[in-house]
Amino acid sequence: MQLSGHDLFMLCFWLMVSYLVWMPPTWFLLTFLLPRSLVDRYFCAPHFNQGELTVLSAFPGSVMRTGIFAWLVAFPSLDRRRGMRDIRNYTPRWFVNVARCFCVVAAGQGFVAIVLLVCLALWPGD
Amino acid sequence: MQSQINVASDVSEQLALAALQGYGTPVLYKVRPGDRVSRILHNYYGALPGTARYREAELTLRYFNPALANPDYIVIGQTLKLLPLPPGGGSCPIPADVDPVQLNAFRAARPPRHYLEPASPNYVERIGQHIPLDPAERDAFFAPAWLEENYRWLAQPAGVGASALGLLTGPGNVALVREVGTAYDLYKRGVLTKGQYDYRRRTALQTFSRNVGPMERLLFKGQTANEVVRISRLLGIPATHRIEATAARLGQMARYATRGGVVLAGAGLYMACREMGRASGAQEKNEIMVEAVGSTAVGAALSLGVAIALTTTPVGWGVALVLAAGTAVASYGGGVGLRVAYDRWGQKVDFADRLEVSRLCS
Repeated sequence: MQLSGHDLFMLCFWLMVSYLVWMPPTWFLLTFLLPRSLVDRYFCAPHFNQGELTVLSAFPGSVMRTGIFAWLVAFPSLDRRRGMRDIRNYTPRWFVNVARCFCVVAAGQGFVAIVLLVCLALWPGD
Repeated sequence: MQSQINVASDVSEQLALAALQGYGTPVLYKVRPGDRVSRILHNYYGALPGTARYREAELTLRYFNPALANPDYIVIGQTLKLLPLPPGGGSCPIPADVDPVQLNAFRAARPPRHYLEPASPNYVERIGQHIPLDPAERDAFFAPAWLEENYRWLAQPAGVGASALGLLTGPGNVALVREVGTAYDLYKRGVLTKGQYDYRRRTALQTFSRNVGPMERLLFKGQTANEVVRISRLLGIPATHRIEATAARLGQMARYATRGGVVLAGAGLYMACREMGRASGAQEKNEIMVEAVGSTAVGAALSLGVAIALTTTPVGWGVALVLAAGTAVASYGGGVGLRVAYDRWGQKVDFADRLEVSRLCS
Protein backbone atom coordinates (compact mmCIF):
# COMPACT_ATOMS: atom_id res chain seq x y z
CA MET A 1 0.00 0.00 0.00
CA GLN A 2 1.42 3.34 -1.05
CA LEU A 3 0.90 6.45 1.07
CA SER A 4 -0.41 9.43 -0.89
CA GLY A 5 -0.26 13.13 -0.05
CA HIS A 6 -3.99 13.01 0.67
CA ASP A 7 -3.55 10.18 3.20
CA LEU A 8 -0.73 12.04 4.91
CA PHE A 9 -2.76 15.24 5.08
CA MET A 10 -5.78 13.42 6.53
CA LEU A 11 -3.57 11.75 9.14
CA CYS A 12 -1.98 15.06 10.09
CA PHE A 13 -5.30 16.94 10.24
CA TRP A 14 -7.17 14.41 12.38
CA LEU A 15 -4.13 14.05 14.64
CA MET A 16 -4.21 17.80 15.23
CA VAL A 17 -7.97 17.88 15.79
CA SER A 18 -7.79 15.07 18.34
CA TYR A 19 -4.82 16.83 19.97
CA LEU A 20 -6.85 20.01 20.38
CA VAL A 21 -9.78 18.08 21.82
CA TRP A 22 -7.91 16.52 24.74
CA MET A 23 -4.56 18.24 25.31
CA PRO A 24 -5.37 21.88 26.25
CA PRO A 25 -8.36 20.94 28.48
CA THR A 26 -6.23 18.36 30.30
CA TRP A 27 -3.43 20.87 30.75
CA PHE A 28 -5.85 23.41 32.23
CA LEU A 29 -7.35 20.73 34.47
CA LEU A 30 -3.90 19.74 35.75
CA THR A 31 -3.27 23.40 36.57
CA PHE A 32 -6.27 23.41 38.88
CA LEU A 33 -5.34 20.01 40.34
CA LEU A 34 -1.62 20.72 40.81
CA PRO A 35 -0.82 19.56 44.38
CA ARG A 36 -0.36 22.48 46.74
CA SER A 37 2.59 20.67 48.35
CA LEU A 38 4.60 21.01 45.13
CA VAL A 39 3.94 24.72 44.78
CA ASP A 40 4.68 25.46 48.43
CA ARG A 41 7.92 23.48 48.45
CA TYR A 42 9.44 24.18 45.07
CA PHE A 43 7.93 27.34 43.61
CA CYS A 44 10.47 29.62 45.25
CA ALA A 45 14.15 30.56 45.06
CA PRO A 46 16.56 28.91 44.34
CA HIS A 47 14.45 26.54 42.18
CA PHE A 48 13.00 29.45 40.18
CA ASN A 49 14.56 32.85 39.61
CA GLN A 50 12.79 36.08 40.51
CA GLY A 51 11.58 36.80 36.98
CA GLU A 52 10.09 33.31 36.65
CA LEU A 53 8.38 33.59 40.02
CA THR A 54 6.72 36.79 38.84
CA VAL A 55 5.70 35.55 35.41
CA LEU A 56 4.60 32.03 36.36
CA SER A 57 2.60 32.91 39.47
CA ALA A 58 -0.63 34.01 37.76
CA PHE A 59 -2.73 32.83 34.82
CA PRO A 60 -1.77 32.24 32.01
CA GLY A 61 1.84 31.80 33.25
CA SER A 62 0.58 29.32 35.85
CA VAL A 63 -0.30 26.95 33.00
CA MET A 64 3.35 26.95 31.94
CA ARG A 65 4.33 26.31 35.56
CA THR A 66 2.11 23.21 35.51
CA GLY A 67 3.94 22.00 32.40
CA ILE A 68 7.30 22.41 34.13
CA PHE A 69 6.17 20.57 37.27
CA ALA A 70 4.45 17.81 35.27
CA TRP A 71 7.56 17.18 33.18
CA LEU A 72 9.83 17.14 36.25
CA VAL A 73 7.47 14.78 38.08
CA ALA A 74 7.38 12.48 35.03
CA PHE A 75 11.13 12.59 34.36
CA PRO A 76 12.97 13.89 37.45
CA SER A 77 16.32 12.66 36.16
CA LEU A 78 16.21 15.26 33.35
CA ASP A 79 16.49 18.08 35.90
CA ARG A 80 19.94 19.62 35.66
CA ARG A 81 19.76 23.08 37.16
CA ARG A 82 16.66 23.44 39.28
CA GLY A 83 17.63 21.07 42.08
CA MET A 84 14.28 19.27 42.14
CA ARG A 85 15.35 15.67 41.54
CA ASP A 86 13.65 14.51 44.73
CA ILE A 87 10.33 16.00 43.61
CA ARG A 88 8.56 12.63 43.55
CA ASN A 89 9.03 12.24 47.29
CA TYR A 90 6.61 15.12 47.80
CA THR A 91 4.14 14.31 45.03
CA PRO A 92 0.96 12.22 45.40
CA ARG A 93 1.09 8.95 43.51
CA TRP A 94 -1.92 9.79 41.33
CA PHE A 95 -0.26 12.97 40.09
CA VAL A 96 2.92 11.09 39.17
CA ASN A 97 0.91 8.67 37.01
CA VAL A 98 -1.24 11.35 35.42
CA ALA A 99 1.76 13.60 34.74
CA ARG A 100 3.68 10.74 33.16
CA CYS A 101 0.78 9.82 30.84
CA PHE A 102 0.11 13.47 29.96
CA CYS A 103 3.73 14.30 29.16
CA VAL A 104 4.43 11.19 27.11
CA VAL A 105 1.24 11.31 25.04
CA ALA A 106 1.09 15.11 24.62
CA ALA A 107 4.75 15.52 23.70
CA GLY A 108 4.67 12.45 21.44
CA GLN A 109 1.48 13.37 19.60
CA GLY A 110 2.55 17.01 19.21
CA PHE A 111 5.94 15.96 17.89
CA VAL A 112 4.42 13.52 15.39
CA ALA A 113 1.91 16.15 14.20
CA ILE A 114 4.68 18.70 13.58
CA VAL A 115 6.86 16.12 11.82
CA LEU A 116 3.92 15.17 9.58
CA LEU A 117 3.37 18.86 8.78
CA VAL A 118 7.02 19.18 7.76
CA CYS A 119 6.71 16.01 5.66
CA LEU A 120 3.66 17.49 3.94
CA ALA A 121 5.64 20.61 3.08
CA LEU A 122 8.34 18.46 1.49
CA TRP A 123 5.99 15.91 -0.09
CA PRO A 124 6.16 15.87 -3.89
CA GLY A 125 2.93 16.88 -5.67
CA ASP A 126 0.58 14.07 -6.74
CA MET B 1 -47.62 58.35 -20.21
CA GLN B 2 -46.14 61.62 -19.05
CA SER B 3 -47.48 61.12 -15.54
CA GLN B 4 -45.98 57.62 -15.41
CA ILE B 5 -42.53 59.02 -16.23
CA ASN B 6 -42.91 61.71 -13.57
CA VAL B 7 -43.89 59.12 -10.98
CA ALA B 8 -40.90 56.95 -11.88
CA SER B 9 -38.62 59.97 -11.68
CA ASP B 10 -40.03 60.97 -8.28
CA VAL B 11 -39.53 57.46 -6.93
CA SER B 12 -35.96 57.31 -8.13
CA GLU B 13 -35.22 60.69 -6.59
CA GLN B 14 -36.72 59.57 -3.31
CA LEU B 15 -34.61 56.43 -3.46
CA ALA B 16 -31.49 58.43 -4.13
CA LEU B 17 -32.23 60.87 -1.33
CA ALA B 18 -33.02 58.10 1.12
CA ALA B 19 -29.86 56.33 0.15
CA LEU B 20 -27.85 59.45 0.78
CA GLN B 21 -29.54 60.35 4.04
CA GLY B 22 -29.76 57.13 5.94
CA TYR B 23 -28.20 54.23 4.15
CA GLY B 24 -24.49 54.83 4.14
CA THR B 25 -22.03 57.11 2.42
CA PRO B 26 -20.68 56.51 -1.06
CA VAL B 27 -17.09 55.38 -1.08
CA LEU B 28 -14.43 55.38 -3.75
CA TYR B 29 -12.50 52.31 -2.65
CA LYS B 30 -9.01 51.40 -3.76
CA VAL B 31 -8.35 47.64 -3.78
CA ARG B 32 -5.59 46.59 -1.36
CA PRO B 33 -3.51 43.41 -1.18
CA GLY B 34 -5.56 40.55 0.24
CA ASP B 35 -8.92 42.05 -0.71
CA ARG B 36 -11.75 39.91 -2.01
CA VAL B 37 -15.03 41.06 -3.49
CA SER B 38 -16.97 39.13 -0.83
CA ARG B 39 -15.07 40.89 1.94
CA ILE B 40 -15.51 44.32 0.41
CA LEU B 41 -19.24 43.75 -0.04
CA HIS B 42 -19.53 42.44 3.50
CA ASN B 43 -17.66 45.36 5.00
CA TYR B 44 -19.50 48.03 3.07
CA TYR B 45 -23.00 46.57 2.69
CA GLY B 46 -23.02 44.11 5.60
CA ALA B 47 -24.08 41.48 3.09
CA LEU B 48 -23.34 37.82 3.70
CA PRO B 49 -22.63 35.64 0.66
CA GLY B 50 -25.61 33.61 -0.44
CA THR B 51 -28.18 36.14 0.79
CA ALA B 52 -30.49 38.31 -1.29
CA ARG B 53 -28.75 41.41 -0.01
CA TYR B 54 -25.40 40.08 -1.18
CA ARG B 55 -26.74 39.46 -4.69
CA GLU B 56 -28.21 42.96 -4.73
CA ALA B 57 -24.92 44.41 -3.53
CA GLU B 58 -23.04 42.50 -6.20
CA LEU B 59 -25.41 43.79 -8.89
CA THR B 60 -24.94 47.32 -7.57
CA LEU B 61 -21.17 46.90 -7.71
CA ARG B 62 -21.31 45.67 -11.29
CA TYR B 63 -23.75 48.35 -12.36
CA PHE B 64 -21.70 51.24 -11.04
CA ASN B 65 -18.40 49.69 -12.09
CA PRO B 66 -18.92 48.70 -15.72
CA ALA B 67 -15.18 48.15 -16.15
CA LEU B 68 -15.42 45.26 -13.71
CA ALA B 69 -15.97 42.50 -16.26
CA ASN B 70 -15.61 39.68 -13.75
CA PRO B 71 -16.59 40.62 -10.15
CA ASP B 72 -14.50 37.75 -8.80
CA TYR B 73 -11.38 39.22 -10.37
CA ILE B 74 -10.10 42.47 -8.88
CA VAL B 75 -6.57 43.81 -9.00
CA ILE B 76 -4.57 45.73 -6.45
CA GLY B 77 -4.91 49.47 -6.95
CA GLN B 78 -8.18 49.16 -8.85
CA THR B 79 -10.76 51.77 -7.82
CA LEU B 80 -14.31 50.65 -7.09
CA LYS B 81 -17.37 52.85 -6.66
CA LEU B 82 -19.34 51.60 -3.67
CA LEU B 83 -22.74 53.25 -3.58
CA PRO B 84 -25.37 52.62 -0.93
CA LEU B 85 -28.33 50.36 -1.51
CA PRO B 86 -31.68 52.17 -1.29
CA PRO B 87 -34.13 51.26 1.48
CA GLY B 88 -35.54 47.79 1.14
CA GLY B 89 -32.77 46.77 -1.23
CA GLY B 90 -32.85 43.05 -1.87
CA SER B 91 -34.48 40.50 -4.09
CA CYS B 92 -37.83 38.85 -3.46
CA PRO B 93 -37.51 35.23 -2.34
CA ILE B 94 -38.27 32.68 -5.03
CA PRO B 95 -41.32 30.52 -4.15
CA ALA B 96 -40.45 26.89 -3.48
CA ASP B 97 -42.97 25.50 -5.99
CA VAL B 98 -41.50 27.26 -9.05
CA ASP B 99 -40.50 24.89 -11.83
CA PRO B 100 -36.66 25.04 -12.07
CA VAL B 101 -36.75 24.69 -15.87
CA GLN B 102 -39.06 27.67 -16.19
CA LEU B 103 -37.00 29.62 -13.70
CA ASN B 104 -33.77 29.04 -15.65
CA ALA B 105 -35.52 30.03 -18.89
CA PHE B 106 -36.78 33.21 -17.20
CA ARG B 107 -33.30 34.05 -15.93
CA ALA B 108 -31.73 33.41 -19.33
CA ALA B 109 -34.27 35.72 -20.99
CA ARG B 110 -33.77 38.48 -18.41
CA PRO B 111 -30.16 38.79 -17.30
CA PRO B 112 -29.68 40.53 -13.93
CA ARG B 113 -29.75 44.27 -14.09
CA HIS B 114 -29.79 46.96 -11.47
CA TYR B 115 -33.16 48.21 -10.28
CA LEU B 116 -32.15 51.83 -10.80
CA GLU B 117 -30.97 51.33 -14.35
CA PRO B 118 -34.10 52.31 -16.31
CA ALA B 119 -35.60 54.81 -13.91
CA SER B 120 -32.74 56.99 -12.86
CA PRO B 121 -29.99 57.50 -15.39
CA ASN B 122 -28.70 60.53 -13.50
CA TYR B 123 -28.39 58.60 -10.24
CA VAL B 124 -24.69 58.01 -10.72
CA GLU B 125 -24.04 61.71 -11.33
CA ARG B 126 -26.15 62.78 -8.37
CA ILE B 127 -24.67 60.35 -5.92
CA GLY B 128 -21.22 60.67 -7.42
CA GLN B 129 -21.03 64.22 -6.09
CA HIS B 130 -20.95 62.76 -2.59
CA ILE B 131 -18.12 60.30 -3.20
CA PRO B 132 -15.24 61.20 -0.87
CA LEU B 133 -12.08 62.09 -2.74
CA ASP B 134 -9.95 62.71 0.33
CA PRO B 135 -7.37 59.86 0.60
CA ALA B 136 -7.54 59.98 4.40
CA GLU B 137 -11.28 59.34 4.28
CA ARG B 138 -10.76 56.39 1.98
CA ASP B 139 -8.10 55.02 4.32
CA ALA B 140 -10.49 55.39 7.23
CA PHE B 141 -12.76 52.93 5.46
CA PHE B 142 -9.87 50.63 4.69
CA ALA B 143 -8.45 50.48 8.26
CA PRO B 144 -11.32 48.63 9.99
CA ALA B 145 -11.69 46.33 6.99
CA TRP B 146 -7.97 45.47 7.10
CA LEU B 147 -8.13 44.90 10.85
CA GLU B 148 -11.09 42.58 10.49
CA GLU B 149 -9.34 40.61 7.75
CA ASN B 150 -6.06 40.25 9.62
CA TYR B 151 -7.37 39.97 13.16
CA ARG B 152 -6.85 36.23 13.37
CA TRP B 153 -3.08 36.36 13.04
CA LEU B 154 -2.79 39.65 14.94
CA ALA B 155 -4.80 38.34 17.90
CA GLN B 156 -2.30 35.73 18.95
CA PRO B 157 0.78 37.95 19.36
CA ALA B 158 -1.41 40.72 20.76
CA GLY B 159 -2.87 38.27 23.27
CA VAL B 160 0.59 37.02 24.26
CA GLY B 161 1.83 40.61 24.59
CA ALA B 162 -1.13 41.72 26.71
CA SER B 163 -0.83 38.66 28.94
CA ALA B 164 2.90 39.29 29.38
CA LEU B 165 2.18 42.91 30.31
CA GLY B 166 -0.41 41.69 32.81
CA LEU B 167 2.13 39.37 34.42
CA LEU B 168 4.80 42.07 34.57
CA THR B 169 2.50 44.48 36.32
CA GLY B 170 1.05 41.76 38.55
CA PRO B 171 0.71 41.79 42.37
CA GLY B 172 4.30 40.66 43.00
CA ASN B 173 5.80 43.66 41.27
CA VAL B 174 3.23 46.11 42.60
CA ALA B 175 4.17 44.94 46.11
CA LEU B 176 7.80 45.90 45.37
CA VAL B 177 6.71 49.46 44.53
CA ARG B 178 4.59 49.67 47.69
CA GLU B 179 7.57 48.36 49.68
CA VAL B 180 9.27 51.73 49.09
CA GLY B 181 6.32 53.58 50.65
CA THR B 182 6.22 51.22 53.62
CA ALA B 183 9.96 51.63 54.20
CA TYR B 184 9.57 55.42 54.07
CA ASP B 185 6.79 55.33 56.70
CA LEU B 186 8.99 53.21 58.97
CA TYR B 187 11.87 55.64 58.46
CA LYS B 188 9.68 58.62 59.34
CA ARG B 189 8.50 56.88 62.52
CA GLY B 190 12.08 56.23 63.49
CA VAL B 191 11.94 52.45 63.11
CA LEU B 192 14.47 52.49 60.26
CA THR B 193 17.61 54.60 59.88
CA LYS B 194 18.24 56.62 56.72
CA GLY B 195 20.75 54.02 55.55
CA GLN B 196 18.30 51.17 56.15
CA TYR B 197 15.57 53.00 54.25
CA ASP B 198 17.89 53.72 51.32
CA TYR B 199 18.99 50.10 51.22
CA ARG B 200 15.38 48.80 51.22
CA ARG B 201 14.34 51.27 48.55
CA ARG B 202 17.30 50.41 46.34
CA THR B 203 16.80 46.65 46.75
CA ALA B 204 13.06 46.80 46.00
CA LEU B 205 13.49 48.93 42.89
CA GLN B 206 16.42 46.87 41.62
CA THR B 207 14.35 43.70 41.98
CA PHE B 208 11.46 45.41 40.18
CA SER B 209 13.75 46.51 37.33
CA ARG B 210 15.17 43.00 37.02
CA ASN B 211 11.67 41.47 36.94
CA VAL B 212 10.29 43.70 34.22
CA GLY B 213 13.54 43.77 32.25
CA PRO B 214 13.42 45.77 29.02
CA MET B 215 9.75 46.64 29.59
CA GLU B 216 10.63 49.06 32.39
CA ARG B 217 10.83 52.17 30.23
CA LEU B 218 7.68 51.13 28.40
CA LEU B 219 5.77 50.90 31.67
CA PHE B 220 6.96 54.32 32.85
CA LYS B 221 6.79 56.23 29.57
CA GLY B 222 10.53 56.36 28.99
CA GLN B 223 11.61 56.71 32.62
CA THR B 224 13.02 54.13 35.03
CA ALA B 225 11.36 52.91 38.22
CA ASN B 226 14.04 54.73 40.20
CA GLU B 227 13.04 58.02 38.57
CA VAL B 228 9.29 57.53 39.00
CA VAL B 229 8.96 55.94 42.45
CA ARG B 230 10.02 58.94 44.55
CA ILE B 231 8.90 60.81 47.64
CA SER B 232 6.70 63.87 46.96
CA ARG B 233 8.11 67.16 48.25
CA LEU B 234 5.08 69.31 47.47
CA LEU B 235 3.12 70.85 50.34
CA GLY B 236 -0.39 69.53 50.88
CA ILE B 237 0.33 66.19 49.21
CA PRO B 238 1.19 63.02 51.19
CA ALA B 239 4.87 62.10 50.83
CA THR B 240 4.04 58.67 49.44
CA HIS B 241 1.44 60.00 47.00
CA ARG B 242 3.50 59.27 43.87
CA ILE B 243 4.34 55.78 45.07
CA GLU B 244 0.69 54.94 45.73
CA ALA B 245 -0.35 56.45 42.40
CA THR B 246 2.28 54.38 40.56
CA ALA B 247 1.25 51.17 42.36
CA ALA B 248 -2.42 51.84 41.60
CA ARG B 249 -1.63 52.52 37.95
CA LEU B 250 0.37 49.30 37.63
CA GLY B 251 -2.38 47.33 39.35
CA GLN B 252 -5.00 48.72 37.01
CA MET B 253 -2.78 48.02 34.00
CA ALA B 254 -2.34 44.41 35.20
CA ARG B 255 -6.08 43.85 35.45
CA TYR B 256 -6.80 45.29 32.01
CA ALA B 257 -3.86 43.53 30.36
CA THR B 258 -4.54 40.10 31.83
CA ARG B 259 -8.24 40.20 30.97
CA GLY B 260 -7.45 41.76 27.60
CA GLY B 261 -4.92 39.04 26.79
CA VAL B 262 -7.39 36.26 27.51
CA VAL B 263 -10.16 38.07 25.61
CA LEU B 264 -7.89 38.72 22.62
CA ALA B 265 -6.81 35.10 22.42
CA GLY B 266 -10.42 33.90 22.65
CA ALA B 267 -11.59 36.55 20.21
CA GLY B 268 -9.12 35.19 17.65
CA LEU B 269 -11.13 31.97 17.49
CA TYR B 270 -14.38 33.95 17.38
CA MET B 271 -13.09 36.00 14.46
CA ALA B 272 -12.09 32.82 12.61
CA CYS B 273 -15.64 31.58 13.15
CA ARG B 274 -17.08 34.90 12.01
CA GLU B 275 -14.92 34.88 8.90
CA MET B 276 -16.11 31.34 8.16
CA GLY B 277 -19.68 32.56 8.44
CA ARG B 278 -19.22 35.11 5.71
CA ALA B 279 -16.93 32.98 3.50
CA SER B 280 -18.30 32.74 -0.01
CA GLY B 281 -17.92 28.98 -0.46
CA ALA B 282 -17.15 25.65 1.18
CA GLN B 283 -13.55 25.84 0.00
CA GLU B 284 -12.91 29.14 1.77
CA LYS B 285 -14.68 27.97 4.94
CA ASN B 286 -12.52 24.87 5.07
CA GLU B 287 -9.33 26.82 4.47
CA ILE B 288 -10.10 29.10 7.41
CA MET B 289 -10.97 26.19 9.69
CA VAL B 290 -7.93 24.14 8.70
CA GLU B 291 -5.66 27.14 9.31
CA ALA B 292 -7.17 27.72 12.77
CA VAL B 293 -6.72 24.02 13.66
CA GLY B 294 -3.12 24.01 12.41
CA SER B 295 -2.01 27.15 14.20
CA THR B 296 -3.72 26.24 17.50
CA ALA B 297 -2.38 22.67 17.53
CA VAL B 298 1.17 23.72 16.66
CA GLY B 299 0.95 26.53 19.26
CA ALA B 300 -0.18 24.08 21.95
CA ALA B 301 2.54 21.55 21.10
CA LEU B 302 5.26 24.20 21.07
CA SER B 303 4.04 25.68 24.37
CA LEU B 304 4.54 22.27 25.94
CA GLY B 305 7.96 22.16 24.29
CA VAL B 306 8.84 25.50 25.88
CA ALA B 307 7.70 24.19 29.29
CA ILE B 308 9.97 21.16 28.80
CA ALA B 309 12.88 23.41 27.85
CA LEU B 310 12.28 25.50 30.97
CA THR B 311 12.55 22.43 33.20
CA THR B 312 16.22 22.06 32.45
CA THR B 313 17.29 25.67 32.16
CA PRO B 314 15.95 28.78 33.90
CA VAL B 315 15.80 31.54 31.30
CA GLY B 316 16.38 35.25 31.37
CA TRP B 317 14.44 38.00 29.64
CA GLY B 318 16.11 37.76 26.26
CA VAL B 319 15.59 34.01 25.86
CA ALA B 320 12.00 34.27 27.15
CA LEU B 321 11.17 36.88 24.52
CA VAL B 322 12.80 34.82 21.77
CA LEU B 323 10.87 31.71 22.87
CA ALA B 324 7.55 33.58 22.99
CA ALA B 325 8.08 35.23 19.61
CA GLY B 326 9.32 31.99 18.06
CA THR B 327 6.28 30.08 19.34
CA ALA B 328 3.90 32.72 17.95
CA VAL B 329 5.62 32.74 14.53
CA ALA B 330 5.84 28.95 14.31
CA SER B 331 2.21 28.64 15.35
CA TYR B 332 1.15 31.02 12.58
CA GLY B 333 3.37 29.16 10.12
CA GLY B 334 1.80 25.85 11.16
CA GLY B 335 -1.64 27.19 10.30
CA VAL B 336 -0.52 28.49 6.92
CA GLY B 337 1.31 25.22 6.20
CA LEU B 338 -1.75 23.09 6.93
CA ARG B 339 -3.89 25.40 4.82
CA VAL B 340 -1.52 25.04 1.87
CA ALA B 341 -1.52 21.27 2.36
CA TYR B 342 -5.34 21.31 2.34
CA ASP B 343 -5.33 23.18 -0.96
CA ARG B 344 -3.00 20.59 -2.43
CA TRP B 345 -4.38 17.33 -1.05
CA GLY B 346 -7.53 17.79 0.96
CA GLN B 347 -9.92 19.85 -1.15
CA LYS B 348 -12.41 17.06 -1.68
CA VAL B 349 -13.13 16.75 2.03
CA ASP B 350 -15.61 19.19 3.60
CA PHE B 351 -14.25 19.22 7.17
CA ALA B 352 -16.31 22.26 8.15
CA ASP B 353 -19.50 20.43 7.32
CA ARG B 354 -18.39 17.09 8.74
CA LEU B 355 -17.39 18.62 12.08
CA GLU B 356 -20.58 20.75 12.16
CA VAL B 357 -18.41 23.89 12.30
CA SER B 358 -20.25 25.37 9.32
CA ARG B 359 -23.52 25.28 11.20
CA LEU B 360 -21.92 26.57 14.40
CA CYS B 361 -20.33 29.53 12.62
CA SER B 362 -23.14 30.32 10.17
